[in-house]
Amino acid sequence: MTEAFIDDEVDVCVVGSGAGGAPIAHALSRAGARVVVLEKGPWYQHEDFNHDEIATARRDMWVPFVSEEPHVQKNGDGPAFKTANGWIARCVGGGTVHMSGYFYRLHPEDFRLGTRYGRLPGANVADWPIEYDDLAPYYDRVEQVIGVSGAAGENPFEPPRSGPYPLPPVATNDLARLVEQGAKKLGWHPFQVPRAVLSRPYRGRRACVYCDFCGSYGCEVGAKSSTLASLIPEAVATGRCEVRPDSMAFEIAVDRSGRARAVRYRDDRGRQRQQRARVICVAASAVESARLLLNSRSSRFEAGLANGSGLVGQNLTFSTLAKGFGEFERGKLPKLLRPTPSNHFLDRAIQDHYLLKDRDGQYDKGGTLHYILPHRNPIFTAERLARRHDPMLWGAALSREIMRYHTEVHQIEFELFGEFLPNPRTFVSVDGSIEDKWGIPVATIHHTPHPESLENAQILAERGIDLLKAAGADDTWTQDVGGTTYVLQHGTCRFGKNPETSVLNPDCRAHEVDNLYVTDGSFMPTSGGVPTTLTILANAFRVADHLINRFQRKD
Amino acid sequence: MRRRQALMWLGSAGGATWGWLTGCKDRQETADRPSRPTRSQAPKAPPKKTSREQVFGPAERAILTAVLSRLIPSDAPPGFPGATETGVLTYMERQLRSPQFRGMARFILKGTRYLDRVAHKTQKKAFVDLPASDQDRLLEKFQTGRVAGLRYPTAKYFALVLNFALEGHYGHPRHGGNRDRQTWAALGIDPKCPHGSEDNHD
Repeated sequence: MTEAFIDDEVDVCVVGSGAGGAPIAHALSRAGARVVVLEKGPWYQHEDFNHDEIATARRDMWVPFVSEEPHVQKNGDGPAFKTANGWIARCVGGGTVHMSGYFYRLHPEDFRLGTRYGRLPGANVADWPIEYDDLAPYYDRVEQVIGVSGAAGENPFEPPRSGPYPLPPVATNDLARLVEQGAKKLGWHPFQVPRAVLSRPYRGRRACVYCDFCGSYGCEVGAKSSTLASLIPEAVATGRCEVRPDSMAFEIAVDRSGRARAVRYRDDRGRQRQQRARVICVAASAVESARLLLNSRSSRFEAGLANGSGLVGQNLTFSTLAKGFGEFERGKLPKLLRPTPSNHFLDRAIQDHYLLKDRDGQYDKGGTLHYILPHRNPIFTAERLARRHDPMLWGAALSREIMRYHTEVHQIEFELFGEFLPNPRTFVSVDGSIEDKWGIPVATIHHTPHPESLENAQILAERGIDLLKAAGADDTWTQDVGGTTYVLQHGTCRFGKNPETSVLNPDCRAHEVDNLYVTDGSFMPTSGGVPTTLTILANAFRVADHLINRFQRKD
Repeated sequence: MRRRQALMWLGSAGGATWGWLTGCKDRQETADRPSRPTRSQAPKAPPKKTSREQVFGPAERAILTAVLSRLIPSDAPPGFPGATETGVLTYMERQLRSPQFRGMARFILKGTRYLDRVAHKTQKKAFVDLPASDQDRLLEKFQTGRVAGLRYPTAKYFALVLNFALEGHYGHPRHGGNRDRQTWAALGIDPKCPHGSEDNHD
């Protein structure tokens, strides 16, 4: 195939503009490098965002239609099926645009799980080649640069930090008191969740207006600290960073010496182009980055770029899910708590079970229990209430249930963010039999959660329910216990010191390709018991510092 | 994987949720479509009418009207609007006219005819002429996939129609359903953006 368009060489070409890509573009362009960012999706503006649930949350605003760009999934030994699972977002800003922005840090012990669980049968757990202290300054930096609102010091299990958050916590509603009371009855320690949402105006951006439609939606005032609202505009303002939306990378070309030479992509008019760069940085999500490397075959890299170890795509992890609900009859609550809250944020969490103390000697990794009010999406709410019954409720019974939900009760929900144990049966492959609308072979996601992850999810779900009962819930139930949160993904290009057991070195540079970096969640050997967006951003800033250093040394 | 997941994917994005229809469009129809520039073009209201082509004929429309009024009946609970008042069928037809859902439109058309055929066969009556309780019983059979002698995934049909019914009933009126925001008014909710652009206030 001929490529009529070969772009001038730049210093850095970044594939992806979300949590893993934007920090590279931001830091490098500000340091003087010329950067091109290729983003497969459109460049939405804040005024494009609204509360139209059908267009925003139920079609292809964030992720493509399966008929156009599927993933293939295989659960255990089950049949393969096409799915949208494994997509996070395709738009400038990536998943940070529709995230809820729960910005927890990993805990120091999360960096050493190999030491702790390295011998767990059926799992492949490894230590990180860096420590919490290596990442801590970059956690600080992300919180400062993009704007994170939180209350330091409330959580006795909080990882060490150098000072307060740059912004006070977002306001939360009075129903949070129920969660606090329930936790205290059990001797647990609730705290306000740090959010990548501005509680006050910050760096020229507006504060949150408490519109109640945060996660799954774009922020119409730019108060959500997505890379779209924070890092990308600052990078573009340098005049040295160009963001190209609707540009789908499909191969990384190498030169004779085995260095990455250019990213080949389809531009916004469907034309095939090449962007040459001195350094190529892949940050397309753990699934899609693995797909891009595996699709970049050459005589030198027959099994895919940087895949001499055969580990590209292996050790895929997500986050282990469990949900629970507590229903409170409004009439039984104090008068103040009866009306529908005008502010939908509740945002209390507990990390008392980050390690499961009573599982001493066994696999004892727990996670974070995060309490919220269920999403206000009207269609989703109707569906959720219908699904509480099997088969799904419909007819007058459903309408009555929906009416009751909106007028007679409150529901408080918790969501678990639990460790997803890396294992040999959960990985990404590309077999070439199915192609997307461009003819690019798609990723197959082999998905088999480790039984110990599922067992601990069950234990944590019970603890989550215990709290709701202690808070006085009249009714409680769980959902999706041991499920998978596919939008949190990691591990497919594990970093480490040993080229035989890892794809990337501790700087997230490919062991086999001197100028190729992967900076999305792919580098993470383990998933942690928190949402990982903050960690991906922090690590990308760490890699950016390394790159700036390298450019300055003219290495 | 549970059956419902084959139809609608609910991802969990940190407490919040998004789900979407996977679409039934034939691969062939999309393979050669070039990517369009979409900079700053968030999906807004779909075109009011993309083609004159009707998705359903009068017979199917009558059957679906009856189905939808069982899925979301009028005045139950008292004062609560039903699918007929909020224009769910209009919403559904407008959605199914979009190229993404062409395959799904055919699938629903077929299922709607089967529903009537099963009514004739088992009750000796057209679906629309059955008393509500018999319509419900038949729909339950479709929902649970227990229709003897029919090699058509009735449970998938039921789930899809219910999906469109809930979307049309509770979604944004700009898509043709939830006429005059009736359901939002009845539930006392107002999902509008407090500080969005003018367009977001409609």
